[in-house]
Amino acid sequence: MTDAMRDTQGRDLLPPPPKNSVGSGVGMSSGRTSLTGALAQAEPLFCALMPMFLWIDGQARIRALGRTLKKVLGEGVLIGDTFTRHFSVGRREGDLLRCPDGLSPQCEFENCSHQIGACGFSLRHLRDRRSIHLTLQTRPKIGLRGDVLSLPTTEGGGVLMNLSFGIYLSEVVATLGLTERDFAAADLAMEMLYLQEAKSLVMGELRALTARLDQARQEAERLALTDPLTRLSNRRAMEQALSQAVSGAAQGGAPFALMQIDLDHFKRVNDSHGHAAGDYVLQSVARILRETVRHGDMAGRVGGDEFLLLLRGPIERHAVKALARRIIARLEEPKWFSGHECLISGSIGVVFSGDYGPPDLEVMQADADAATYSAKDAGRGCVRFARSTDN
Amino acid sequence: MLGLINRSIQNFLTDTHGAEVWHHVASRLGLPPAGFEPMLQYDDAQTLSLIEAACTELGRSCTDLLEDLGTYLATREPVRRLLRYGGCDYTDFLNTLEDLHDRARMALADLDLPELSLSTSGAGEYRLMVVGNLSGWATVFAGILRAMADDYGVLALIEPEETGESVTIRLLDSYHAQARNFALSRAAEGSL
Repeated sequence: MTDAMRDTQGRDLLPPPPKNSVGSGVGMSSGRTSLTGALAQAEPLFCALMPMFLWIDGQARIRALGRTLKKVLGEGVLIGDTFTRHFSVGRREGDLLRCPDGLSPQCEFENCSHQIGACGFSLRHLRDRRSIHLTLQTRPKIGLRGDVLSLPTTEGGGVLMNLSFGIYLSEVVATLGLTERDFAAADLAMEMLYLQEAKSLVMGELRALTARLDQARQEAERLALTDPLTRLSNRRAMEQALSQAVSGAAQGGAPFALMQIDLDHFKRVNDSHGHAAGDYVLQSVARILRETVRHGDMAGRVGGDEFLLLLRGPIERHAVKALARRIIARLEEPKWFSGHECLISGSIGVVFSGDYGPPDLEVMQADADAATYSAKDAGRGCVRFARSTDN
Repeated sequence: MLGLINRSIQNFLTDTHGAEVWHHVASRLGLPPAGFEPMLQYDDAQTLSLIEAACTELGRSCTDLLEDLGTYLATREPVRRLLRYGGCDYTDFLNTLEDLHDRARMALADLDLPELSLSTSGAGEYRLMVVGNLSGWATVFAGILRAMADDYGVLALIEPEETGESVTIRLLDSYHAQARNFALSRAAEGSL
């Protein structure tokens, strides 16, 4: 038994061959117990135990291979084929293991490809390796990896390998149609395929759950920011938008105008025609505001009969005044609910962010409120600007 | 109990008895029609009341319903494929059933399938003990084993025992019919 036939813990990998065994192996040296002969005898055992077994002889030719490896290499593979006809050592083109002997006087070959495995001599560079990566010549996308064990040169050299598909397993199974019987029972290939399939199902379920939760979250968010009766933005949504507008304007961004609209005579509609009529009027107001504002503006209901318009971007006072008058005119159009005429109007107060340096939300809201009250004091159904003589 | 189990029962009711039956069962239980989320956890008691409500709604015995549920599960293509990883023939499949609990856990740690143990009582005669947190699992497995016998193309007599804790299997003909196709590489389609 030579050292090469022991594993790292020093255990024997092969039983000692019978004393009278007649070796038939390549490179058998006379007068010694033939390791190669013993291997040749054990070959069926190796192939049965390791369907991805590969034995390369001292001339870098395939001496034996397991049944699954045979399937992988295809019909054309023959015992005696050169190793490099089917494999290169290393993972990818450009990352292949080159034989360092190419230019040295040790190399006996004139037209050497400098590939490890091109000649028996180059195989000695695998001696100190524990594992090896191979690439299939016919299917360069598929890599194999496995244990490698060098045979002593006194026995004719060569290497033994026990290979596996590693991460290329599913590709190989898909392209070659391998079945459970192609894998050794000790191989975890089946577990890996099973897990991959089960995991993708679980991932599918999780993705579906995430999508449902995300939809529910968006819906909840929408509900949290919407006034259910008028489907305008609610107070919370308006405050968020106003804070953003204020901090934007304070940092030199776009200015904005804030319009507060308090309905006039709304309580009277509610009291004389009922809440259903009141709700109808509020919905009509919402429709008017939606139809009046420009794209990018925002309308919200922030109290029982109190509405806000956020007018984004620079806007002239006369344009705002015209807008406010149009709104008041439409609010004053008679609204009919179940045969009852519902008459309302609106008092409007406006503030401009440009009148503040820098703008402050609380101050602006208080000013808008005060301007709305002065519109009410001035007889309702009119508009007043805060911090302005242009009233 | 993982919602996956409850959801499977929900899908079974919807697919084999119609959406209306499920809606009736859901309203008996005070559940929304959308039912159970497969990846969320639910109380074990909820699974029991779900089965009870389904039996009442359909006017069927619990044993009948759970056996049908087993057959339904094992004939869903994704589940069938995962079960077929259990072995290259039916005997092999039976012998690896003991791994099923751990296999399922490997894929989905929260999925607590019952513990299975197989004993042989003679040539081609087996007894599968089923120990789980839900009484009735053995009946579900009787349905699963029957469907898988068809899948592997074997003829077998499969009966849940009265105790509700085990299933007896008598293998009559291992080459009764052509086994259904199972290729390792075909990606599973659909959902659980």
